[in-house]
Amino acid sequence: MSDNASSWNSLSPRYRVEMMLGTALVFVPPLAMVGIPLWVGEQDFIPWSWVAIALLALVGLFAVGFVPRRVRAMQYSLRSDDLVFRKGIFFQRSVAVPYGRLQLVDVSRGPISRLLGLSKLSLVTASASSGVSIPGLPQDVAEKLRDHLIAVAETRRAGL
Amino acid sequence: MVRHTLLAAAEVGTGQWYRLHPLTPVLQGGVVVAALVTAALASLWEAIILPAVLVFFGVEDTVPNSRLWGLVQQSLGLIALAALAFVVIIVLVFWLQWRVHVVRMDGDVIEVKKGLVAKSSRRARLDRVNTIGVRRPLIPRLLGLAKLDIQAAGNDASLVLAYLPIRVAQDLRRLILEGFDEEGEEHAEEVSHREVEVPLVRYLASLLVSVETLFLLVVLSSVIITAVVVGETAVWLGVVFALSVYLIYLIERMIRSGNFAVDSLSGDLRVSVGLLSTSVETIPPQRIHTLELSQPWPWKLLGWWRLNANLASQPGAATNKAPEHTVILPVATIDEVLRIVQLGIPWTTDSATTELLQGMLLKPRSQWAPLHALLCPPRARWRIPFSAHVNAAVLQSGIVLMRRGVWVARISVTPLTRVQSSSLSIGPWHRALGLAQVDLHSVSGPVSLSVVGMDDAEARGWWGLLNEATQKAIDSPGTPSLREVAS
Repeated sequence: MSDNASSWNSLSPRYRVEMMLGTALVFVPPLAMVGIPLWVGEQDFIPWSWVAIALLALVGLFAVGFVPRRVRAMQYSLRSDDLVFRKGIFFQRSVAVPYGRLQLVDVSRGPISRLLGLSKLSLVTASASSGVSIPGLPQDVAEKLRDHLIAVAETRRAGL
Repeated sequence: MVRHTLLAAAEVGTGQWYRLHPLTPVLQGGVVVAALVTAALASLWEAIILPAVLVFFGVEDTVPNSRLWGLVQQSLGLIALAALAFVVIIVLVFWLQWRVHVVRMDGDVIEVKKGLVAKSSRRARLDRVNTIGVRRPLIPRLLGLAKLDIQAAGNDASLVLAYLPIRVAQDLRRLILEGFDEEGEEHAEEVSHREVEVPLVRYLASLLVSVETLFLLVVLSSVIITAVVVGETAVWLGVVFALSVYLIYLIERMIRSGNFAVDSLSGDLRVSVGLLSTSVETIPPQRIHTLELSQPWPWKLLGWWRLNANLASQPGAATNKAPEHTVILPVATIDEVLRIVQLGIPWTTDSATTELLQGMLLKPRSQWAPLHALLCPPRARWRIPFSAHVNAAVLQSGIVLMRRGVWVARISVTPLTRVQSSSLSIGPWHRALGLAQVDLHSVSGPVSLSVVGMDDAEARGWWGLLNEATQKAIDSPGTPSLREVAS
């Protein structure tokens, strides 16, 4: 693995599905709320209800449509000394975690990830604010990465 | 098997069981008994005890003619027997509790067993012990006793030895921290050196020169104005109320954090705090992940600074019962603060770093900032209008220094060997101005390490240097004896 930062790895394209579903789910409760007049049949509010639903749906569609770009912005790079994870378009954040600081590497997957065969890799250091978790990795990649990171961390372990 | 009471720390370590101080059950369960007795006395006071006392001293001749009193007179012997039985049972229970409360220690583990009915036993591996605090609540302190709070790695993994004679507690703490391996060596008397003592008057003054006082002044003046305008004398009650709340706050702080002192003993810092109940904690430099010197602006005239720390494995972080030990010095002069910083972070002892640190504390940025420092460009004032001209970060032989803030000036010192990870963030506002933010990630604590509003390109370059330096520190850890080459 080379030291230059050009060797950026992207997430699995399948992760877009998971993230789109997650984003869409956020809009379900507000949609249900503004849709109450339609259920109740409150005539005065029905037009406003439709307007609100249309607006929310528009914002939701926009958010979902934006997901591929957000997924593309999430990248990680295994450099010689540390792992760098970057994400975000409006709020960009790049975190560098030295291998010697890794205390724990966690692989987890939720129900949707499992259907898609994806896993999330979380890196734990002694600091709570490191907060690096790389979602949307194919299961075998995540496990291989975990084993690799643990092996590297073992050799470069430094005391707390 | 004969079990002895623990009277000298050197005795343990053989794997034998030892009992704790005989007064332990009284100190731990005495409150319950005292409460029971008080409740009983209170309920019987008016009906029985007061008349009996009055008759006994001849103040009154006749006893009240109530049914209860008659009943008491008839069964006086029975009552005495019951009281005696109560005392015997209490003593017996205390004695049994004392007998079963035992501690054992060998080269690997320390184990505590206690409980008559509900038995409990706790065991901790000695090599996992992070920190040991000596706590001295008021009453045990008067009796010359203390408790040892042994914190092992992990949440809520604490083992309490209560109570021990203070000397035994201190020796035991040292023995556990040093390990029992070098038992052959002579245990020289702990050479502790009093580094800084915060005078009570200065601590009180620092409380008076504070935001709370400002708040009180605002409340008072508004109340007084109202009183004058309305012409209502009852409003003065509000003044009295506000003043008494303030006074209680001052007294509470004085009792809890008065008598602050920092000692150094064989490289470790020992922080003692508390006016009545003393809590002592020894902090080895390895536990200090970052130190922050801070100064609210009114203190500028007085030249005072506060010293906070992020410490590894915060004792009682999960339970929140243990006193806060993240405050290393609540108020101190520049020399005192710098002395403790040098003891806690040995990388700061070389003359160049000392000079830099002094400059950061006293001088404007243009006078202290070295060429390799990362500084806020002037355009950052559109993002941070007040602190754009002070914010800076410096990578210096083995440490990172950060300077932030105007209302509360903050200077943090972080050894690179303790930096966990770092990040570079750019929000929309930052990007519009071509700026970036750099964060260092440390263990949890009161100090946050982040500099906002740095030039994008410069911040990226500095971040790269920071990561390289962190890596170097990981590869060759250990404290420097002499200055290293600055990157």
